[in-house]
Amino acid sequence: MKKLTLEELKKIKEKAQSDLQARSPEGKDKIVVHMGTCGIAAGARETLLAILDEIEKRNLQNVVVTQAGCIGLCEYEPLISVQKVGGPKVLYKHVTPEKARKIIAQHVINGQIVTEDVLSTE
Amino acid sequence: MKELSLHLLDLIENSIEAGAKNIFIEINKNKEKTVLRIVDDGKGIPEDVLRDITNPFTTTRRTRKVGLGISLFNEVITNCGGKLNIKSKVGEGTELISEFPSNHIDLPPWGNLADTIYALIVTHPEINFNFKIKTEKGSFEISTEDIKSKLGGDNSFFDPEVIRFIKSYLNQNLGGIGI
Repeated sequence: MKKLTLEELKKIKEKAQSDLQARSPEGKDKIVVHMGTCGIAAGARETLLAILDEIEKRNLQNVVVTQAGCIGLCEYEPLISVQKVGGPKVLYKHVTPEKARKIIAQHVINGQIVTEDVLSTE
Repeated sequence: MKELSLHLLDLIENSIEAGAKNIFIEINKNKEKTVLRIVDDGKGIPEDVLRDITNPFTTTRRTRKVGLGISLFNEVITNCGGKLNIKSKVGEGTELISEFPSNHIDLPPWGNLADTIYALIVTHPEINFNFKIKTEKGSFEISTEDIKSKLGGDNSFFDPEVIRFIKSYLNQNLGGIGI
């Protein structure tokens, strides 16, 4: 198989140009994965990868994923927060890759908070 | 942590926390030894903190009183006969250099380095990362400035198609060099 080159990114850009302009991070649902030492040791990288995988597979255009550091709740790591546009910011605890996939399907896509995994809501 | 690539992710998170805008990461691995170098332009580490940096009770964070990242990595590396050296200047940035035997029995495997790079690049479009990885099987280099310029200087490249591309690109190009 021929290896991918960065040149091929240009094609993706051209294809997506029109809708890239229409979108801005402000109007998007936001997922934050906490990546302090405690988070990473508890498996935050794998959680993040599962989230990115769902976004890629389901082609979710309206979600943006970022990272943040430790927030002092190390015993609940991996922690992620989900904020849908206009909705509350929900902090989820002990988010394994499986839980992350469930949160994407149930909360991010269908707007139903996964109550049993919630640590706090603001 | 079970993988060196997780330690690397953690060390780079320190640079990000320090407000770095440009982070250069170099891994040079041959049969005998591996050299890891991380250079950032973050806020730097004050001298008194730097003197005691590998102590787990040294941290600048306010959420808790321990800082485990560097001390954990230092522990792993020194147990393998390696060394860790950090130079820093407040206001200018920090340079971390670590040298350790490539195949020591107590050294964790590198694990999935492509996943670490992918996780950093796609969630931090505001930071310029430059990775340079060299092994006896080949070399690989990626810079987020290149990605941004291919995307026409777009700073918010978070998009399912773009992240899919970056993931495949990393897996295909990094897979062959054996780290």
